[in-house]
Amino acid sequence: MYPKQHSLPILMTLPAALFLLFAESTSCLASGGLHEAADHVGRILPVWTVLPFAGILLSIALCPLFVPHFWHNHFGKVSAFWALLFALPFLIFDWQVALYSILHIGLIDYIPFIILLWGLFTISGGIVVKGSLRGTPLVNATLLLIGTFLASWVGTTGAAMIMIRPVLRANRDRVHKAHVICFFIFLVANIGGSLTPLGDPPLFLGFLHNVPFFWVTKGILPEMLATAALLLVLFVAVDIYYFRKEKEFREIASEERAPVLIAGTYNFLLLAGVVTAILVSGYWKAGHLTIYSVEVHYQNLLRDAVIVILGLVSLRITPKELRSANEFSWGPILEVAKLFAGIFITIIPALAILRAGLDGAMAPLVAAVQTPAHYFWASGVLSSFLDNAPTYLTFFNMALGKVSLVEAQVPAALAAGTATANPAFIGYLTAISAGAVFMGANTYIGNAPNFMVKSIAEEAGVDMPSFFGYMFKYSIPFLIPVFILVTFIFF
Amino acid sequence: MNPTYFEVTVEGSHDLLKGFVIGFLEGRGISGETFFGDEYELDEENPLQLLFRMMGNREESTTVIVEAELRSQLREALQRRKDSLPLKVVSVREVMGATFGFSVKTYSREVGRSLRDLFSSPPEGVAVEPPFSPEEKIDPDGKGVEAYAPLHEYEMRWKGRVSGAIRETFALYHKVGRFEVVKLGDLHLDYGERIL
Repeated sequence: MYPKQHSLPILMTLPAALFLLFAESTSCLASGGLHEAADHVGRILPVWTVLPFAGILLSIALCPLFVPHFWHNHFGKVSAFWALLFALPFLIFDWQVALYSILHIGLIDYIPFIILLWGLFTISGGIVVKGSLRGTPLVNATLLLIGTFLASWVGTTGAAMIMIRPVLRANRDRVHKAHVICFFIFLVANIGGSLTPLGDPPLFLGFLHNVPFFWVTKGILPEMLATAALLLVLFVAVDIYYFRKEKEFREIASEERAPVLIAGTYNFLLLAGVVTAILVSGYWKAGHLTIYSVEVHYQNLLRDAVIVILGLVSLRITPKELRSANEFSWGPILEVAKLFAGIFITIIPALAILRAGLDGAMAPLVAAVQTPAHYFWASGVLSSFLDNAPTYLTFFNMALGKVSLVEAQVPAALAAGTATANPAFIGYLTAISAGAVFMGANTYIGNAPNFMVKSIAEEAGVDMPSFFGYMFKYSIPFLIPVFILVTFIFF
Repeated sequence: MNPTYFEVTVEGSHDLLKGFVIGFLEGRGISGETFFGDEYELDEENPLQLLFRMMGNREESTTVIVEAELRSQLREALQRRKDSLPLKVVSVREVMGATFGFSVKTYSREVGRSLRDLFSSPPEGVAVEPPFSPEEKIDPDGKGVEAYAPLHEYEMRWKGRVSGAIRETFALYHKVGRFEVVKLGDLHLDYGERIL
């Protein structure tokens, strides 16, 4: 039995509590192996062990707003601090379970996740849209539409990087353009990424946890199409309103006219290679090697190796001027690597507790979130303020715990129309996927490309709204009513 | 010497007045300058005024600023058509100049450069107070694209006030308004003594 919480500050009690906790888990290890011991931990962990996880997510959410210089210079150390706050006591008091858990999340989630993001970022960073465009409502809507569908194949960060400069260039001479960029964040940097695991990090984490590659394509297509169509209609209406107020929006002078063309198109072939490697890893079962009881499958190692090779090929064959045109740098990917190292370590107790379902310390939460609509809004609201990848993983585990499934059963449970299908789980996972991806657009901090797009637009002279301005002028009036409608139609 | 301008306030449909004035100028071949209040936020209504107008308790009101000579011709023309046109001149006031406040915050070097060009050498007859000396910051840490820890390499902030002759101040107001990052304050007219 785990000791009751007392009045000492929670962080002071963490090492002692973990000692007692892992003393218990070690006895379990003797009888059932590391995997079972790690699972058993979820039944005895108290809620406050997720404090480092909450701490790192809140740091990501709040520090760029309130202490931007400190955060810019020290975010890696902050991430390490939260990770060590959980990992050190864990390692000291039960190094076997700790090492297994950290290795498991590192080898199965973190490394493939970073390799995929690196690959997509590197390859899409070599694609440049050139030419002169005039930002009429029709041209803007077309650019947003292209970006929305591109996002599912190159990732939201990649699509944002490819499309933001053409959009800014097209609207350079317009006075009112902040709304164009805000709808760009809605559609290209978030909702567009919902159709494949390449599109948005949460969905790739789902893929790593046995959700079939094309399940989201079929599963969320109606929700995605409805949401994107409604938002595009709203965008066109708003853009026409502002366009009519433009008094001096000139035609492109003949000497400035240049045909629209895409440079670095061979990178699309490399992207196709990434898709193929991921698909192969999803369907081919080639066996595994075991590292400290963690099973690492050969097909996944091959997938990661192929993605790295394709990224290196892109770096080699893409001329530097194309990358310069995208202002390509390793900054964003280094940020992701450092921050997600901390996130993936601190998320360990949250995932374990939620996997324990009604036997875990978050049983009231598991019991309260009942319907797909609850999952849509719960995962969505949290994704609005915390990063959507860990939020997805948290609710994914919660749904597994609720229907008493293990990850190995996920493909069968999602095979709609078969005897093994689990309609409840299908409903939950559809809602979680849609909530985590769509509602990352609700704030600047919901998804990594949001801040990147805001920053690039501001440096191009766009008067982007503040954090709360974005919420009150754009996401609450436009996104929330659309999400309410989507809830009534689909969930 | 700067021409003398008058503010003519007319009750009645804004679109009708605008069409009438433009037609009048075209028909007579007059090239005099005319500034319509809606283009300079001079005809803004507060919500209460809007409500009263929608309830039919308040007439639409339009401001047009014209040179002295045109003022009398326009007034006479409106007087001649008063039976067929629901437009009524309610006041005519001499205008000596105009003033507006503004603030800028931008992270774009290009926009910063353009604003510097505009404000550091304002047109003759226009004063910018305080003289243009924006707060500019260069932060080498902010170079490049970032997702989770974005900083800006360049930042310009400034607040000021522009005042001066009608034509030049209005032109500057219009040019500055082309920049989304410039927050323009209300344009105020400085009235002369003559009320007609």
